[in-house]
Amino acid sequence: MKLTRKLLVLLFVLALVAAACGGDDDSSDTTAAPADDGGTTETTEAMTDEAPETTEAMADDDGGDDGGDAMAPPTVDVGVDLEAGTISIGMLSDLTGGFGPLVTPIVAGHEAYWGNVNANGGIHGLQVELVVRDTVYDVTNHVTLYEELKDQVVAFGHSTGSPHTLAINEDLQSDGILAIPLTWYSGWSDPAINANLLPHGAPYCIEAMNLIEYIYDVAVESGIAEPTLAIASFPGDYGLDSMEGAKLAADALGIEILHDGSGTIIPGQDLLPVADAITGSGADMVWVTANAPTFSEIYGAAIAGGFEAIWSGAGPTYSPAFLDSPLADALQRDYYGTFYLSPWGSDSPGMQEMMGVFAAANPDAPPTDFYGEGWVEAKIMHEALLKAYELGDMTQAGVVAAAKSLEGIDFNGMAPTETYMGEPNDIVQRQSMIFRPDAELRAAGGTGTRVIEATYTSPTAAGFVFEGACFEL
Amino acid sequence: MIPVLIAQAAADSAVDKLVSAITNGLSLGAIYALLALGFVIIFKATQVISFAHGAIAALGAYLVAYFATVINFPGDLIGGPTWLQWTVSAIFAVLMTAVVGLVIERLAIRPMIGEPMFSIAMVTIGLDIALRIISNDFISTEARPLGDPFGTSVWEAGPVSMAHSEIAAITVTIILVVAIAWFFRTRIGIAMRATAFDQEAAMAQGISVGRIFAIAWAIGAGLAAVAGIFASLFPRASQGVSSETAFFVFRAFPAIILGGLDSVPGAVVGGFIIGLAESFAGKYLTWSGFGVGFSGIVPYLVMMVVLLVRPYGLFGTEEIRRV
Repeated sequence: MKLTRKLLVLLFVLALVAAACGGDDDSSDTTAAPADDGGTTETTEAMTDEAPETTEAMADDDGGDDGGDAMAPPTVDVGVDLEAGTISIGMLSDLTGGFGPLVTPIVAGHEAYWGNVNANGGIHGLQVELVVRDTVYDVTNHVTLYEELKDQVVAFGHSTGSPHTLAINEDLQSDGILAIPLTWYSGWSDPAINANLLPHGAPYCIEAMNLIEYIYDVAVESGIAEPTLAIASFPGDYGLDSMEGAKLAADALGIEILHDGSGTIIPGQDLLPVADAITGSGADMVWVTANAPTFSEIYGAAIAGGFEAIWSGAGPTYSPAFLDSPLADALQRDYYGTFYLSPWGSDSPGMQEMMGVFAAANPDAPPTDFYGEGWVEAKIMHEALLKAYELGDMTQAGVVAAAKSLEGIDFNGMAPTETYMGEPNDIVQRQSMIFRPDAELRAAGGTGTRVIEATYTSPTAAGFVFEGACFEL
Repeated sequence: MIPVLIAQAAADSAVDKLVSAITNGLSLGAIYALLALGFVIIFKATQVISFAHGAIAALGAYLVAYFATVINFPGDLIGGPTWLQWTVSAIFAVLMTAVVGLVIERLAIRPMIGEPMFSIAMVTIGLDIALRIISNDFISTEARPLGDPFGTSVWEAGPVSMAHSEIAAITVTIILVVAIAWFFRTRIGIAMRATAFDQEAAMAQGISVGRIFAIAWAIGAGLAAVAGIFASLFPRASQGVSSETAFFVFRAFPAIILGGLDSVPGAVVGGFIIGLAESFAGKYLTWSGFGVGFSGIVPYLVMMVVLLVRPYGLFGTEEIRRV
């Protein structure tokens, strides 16, 4: 009898877990939708990891978007199966950890992008499959999952988190594998550590320079002669890299920092002391580098005490869902935000294309600006794979070499153009999108992100000489 | 004249700071007290340490978001002003969470009666993970606002400034504490106290121990849901219930231990002591060289100091072993 009860308990727990996992549609191990018209007509010999091989000629009769049907098939090793007609891309994603709410739609952006590519013939007939793993934003998990996937995939479509990416960076280089960091740590633009990484968007420190200079101008125009600043952030690369940028901007503009709360925002703790310090400083401007839940707690406590200032923050600090919360009115009055690409609903051709694909694939998906991030990452990987194919080398190392020769990747107005060939100071991204929250836009079906500067580069950011990471990890 | 004005401003500022520390500590302590109360009622009646308490609190807050903002049920059946509809929907969500507590007890806890406490605690850890995954699936990628009528409204009187939601948290906590005290004087409440004291003796007196277990879990889950609601409102987590809500309960653990694991009054007193200690530390110690994280450490320091003097907590029952 007791054994039966124990089995019932076990069954109950398993049923709960199964029920929870069921709603994800295999989110922990997914593939982009295969096309029914892609594929190859001739096959290769069996491949081994040790010896790259060249296949026989491959016909492509599907009229795919990448053309080049007469092109000779490339050399391949890991993650490209010419016989099966597939390319496997690894995804080291935080689906259930601290940034899970942001990364989940980013992965959806990848899936939509590659589903569209596959439906239109894939990459020279090869269908792209995503192999997604949930790192739970844990460095150990990240390294373990990298080890699991490195012999299965041609490259990593993204690698979530700076310490996490840094933990696999040496292996990426020794294994000769490409990864797109899903983090805007300025160190990724440092040639000493970015040999196998393809960063995109303005790094955290440059983003801070851009927006602080922007709100400084807003404050001066509103009649504040010498605006003062309070800053607060998460500890670690994200927060402290951003804080370095804030301090550089303040120094360049002669802004007095009345409160320096670098590294003082700890998720899970009572954040009232942080809010108290900001409000107690009496600063005219506030710059916060955190995530949405912690920001809402700090901002809520500050305005509950009657504090008014120009508030601003790094990209992940803000959530469009704020406009559905009690904070909506106050944020529309106080907040200036920044992001790495244009928001959902903007009229750039790139965004319109993406929205069209999403509308067809998943019309009920709620709008979020993070789909676009996944789309942009996938586009960069697409360009790298196309280039590698054209160069005839789709080995892991071949994809790295191809990626590092890319110039002027155009996102059709959805994100700033990216180049990966040249001196770091010349190619580091300096443009940010600056926005204001707008409840009317959200009510109209958008995310409520009203762009006021699509590609803004502050004089401080433009003149900044990039010689390495703003903050050393 | 100027020194007098400066002294006056400093005095006003000091009063504001003190009052702010007290009001914040009371509202935070009210949430801790609700969490501790639910936890203690479950432990006292069933001897189960429930690590699923945070997940249940988050689930309760999510149910409020769902019933009040998505389907407006049963608020729309009642009609009337928005605040009334929201309140009715919130109460319904709390009752639904209590039902979840009943189901958990019947399916996962009762079959474990007689098993080592460690094994049952492990079951509750499994439940915590399962419930968090389920509620996170429902919450999805963005936090869910609860659609509450409090908004960002603040009540001000002299140096006192409190958000309406904070006043509501304290008021609701007082009402629930009185209700629980009354409940323990009812027939079922007395049966629960008897069961907590000696399960076999209670059974010998005709008390259905299984039924008492179920009621304890229902009450505990309902109290957790109320705490989850106030932990998800302005000015604490103004964005609403999120995947982080479930972890808020860990901040209440010092309150549970401080008051005494098996003491209902201890849970309430411990909640307010820890809330005030955390608030005062945040106001007065953080920027005095202790670092910003110090206010998070203070509850544990207070707990350790108290346990050194009273190892079973302020109101806990001393365990006597005869050898």
